[in-house]
Amino acid sequence: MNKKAIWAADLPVLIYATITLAVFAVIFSGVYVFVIQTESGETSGQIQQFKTYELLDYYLNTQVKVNNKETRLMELIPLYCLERKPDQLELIKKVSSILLLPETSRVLGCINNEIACKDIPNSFSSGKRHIYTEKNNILILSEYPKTNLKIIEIPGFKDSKACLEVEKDNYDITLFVDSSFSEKDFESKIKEKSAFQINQGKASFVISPSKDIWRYNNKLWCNAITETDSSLNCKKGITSQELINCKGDFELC
Amino acid sequence: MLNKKGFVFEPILVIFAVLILSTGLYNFITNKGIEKNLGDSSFNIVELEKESKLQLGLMEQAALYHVYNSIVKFAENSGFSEYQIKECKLWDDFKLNEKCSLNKEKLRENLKIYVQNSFNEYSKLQGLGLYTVDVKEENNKLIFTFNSPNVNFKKENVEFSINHNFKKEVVYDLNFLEDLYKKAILRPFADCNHAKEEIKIENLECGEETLALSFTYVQNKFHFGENENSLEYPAIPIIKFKLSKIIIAS
Repeated sequence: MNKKAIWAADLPVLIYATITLAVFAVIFSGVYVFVIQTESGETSGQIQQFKTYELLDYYLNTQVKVNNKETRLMELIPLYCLERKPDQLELIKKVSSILLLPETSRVLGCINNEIACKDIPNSFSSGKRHIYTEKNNILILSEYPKTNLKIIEIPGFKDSKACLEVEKDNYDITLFVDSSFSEKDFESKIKEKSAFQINQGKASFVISPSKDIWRYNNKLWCNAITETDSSLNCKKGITSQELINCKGDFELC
Repeated sequence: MLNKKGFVFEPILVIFAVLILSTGLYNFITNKGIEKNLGDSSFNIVELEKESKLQLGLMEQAALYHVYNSIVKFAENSGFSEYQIKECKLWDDFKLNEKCSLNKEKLRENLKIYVQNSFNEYSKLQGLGLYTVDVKEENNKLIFTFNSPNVNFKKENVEFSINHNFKKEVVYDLNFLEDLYKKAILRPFADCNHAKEEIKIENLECGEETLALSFTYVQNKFHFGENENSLEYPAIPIIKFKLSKIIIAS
């Protein structure tokens, strides 16, 4: 047989084989892509879950200055649960709204020896939450219907502790408020934010080495706790240079 | 040349082959066997490690409150232990009952027991192990060392235990209490004026009862943080003690 004859006889087989291989390739690639996407979804979900711990650490342990005292929510929350002063509650709400994104669901409940964290109903859809709110002074700082919740007990005093509920996902740790621990670092952050006119979102806040929280808004810097309205917009403020000169210490500014 | 039947069978054969092979491929990559379990275990280990860090951090924060609360209770109970307080009502009761005597060693030991009992009650509620507490004095500070050799954490198929050891430093001078005790038991007093003249400690409040003199001394406030720029702790230590009064027959 000559070479041409061989090709002539096997041509239909070759065509069929090529078509079959192409079909196999398309289907297998489809299956592979589908499976990989499903698996990576699960993985990122788990990684997101790890970030809950970073969120809790950041939320509870970020040092801030309020009423001329250095503190953190880990101290403010149990103190409120013990003393139940309305101004303490306002402070917790304000610091929370500065530190966290508004859509981060967080629920805070004061508990005592008779009520444990696990007793607080965590079904948002049930009416129990409402009843509980009235009876036990649960503070809903920002509630979005979520089911994937992490509940922790914040240590407090003998008859008053607190439960904090945060959702396990839907936040971005890159959106945490900037903290500066040295004058040089603080100065460069102030210059950067004012140069780029960053006056929206968490990036417009910065915590100075003195632990005062500053907000950049309308080309001015103001104390985020005492000089902002309910939407955290500055009511009055100082220039970037003035803020750098007083090293971010509200008492000196 | 292929006949008509050949044209029908071949595509069916290809479809079956595709179905069988793609099902095989799917099963191969989504294998939930040992690889998947290995992945889960690593995630469980990382999550458990993070969970344990959070829990231990909260425990350490709670320890500070337990130290402060225990000092408040200790001062209120005149430095007596919970066992002593059942038998000893006055600082000078040691004249009748040897068990009621106090000295620096006993004061430190009593405070240690208050802290240990209080913290272990909390630790048990958290489902963690028991801690031993040690206390040392350094100038006007007390350094409490908490140690639990076997704190267990478990999640599904992952379990580990760690030796949890940490310190809490608080500003509290035990020497003051010892000094006050020594001055107060030196001799019996007839009334508050007599007692205040002899004890010579400013801001010591005294009240007279039928058979005893009752004293209170408000100590410095505690702070949440290490410096005075931090928030004040809501409970203040107040030393309370009683002494028997000399009854003068009229």
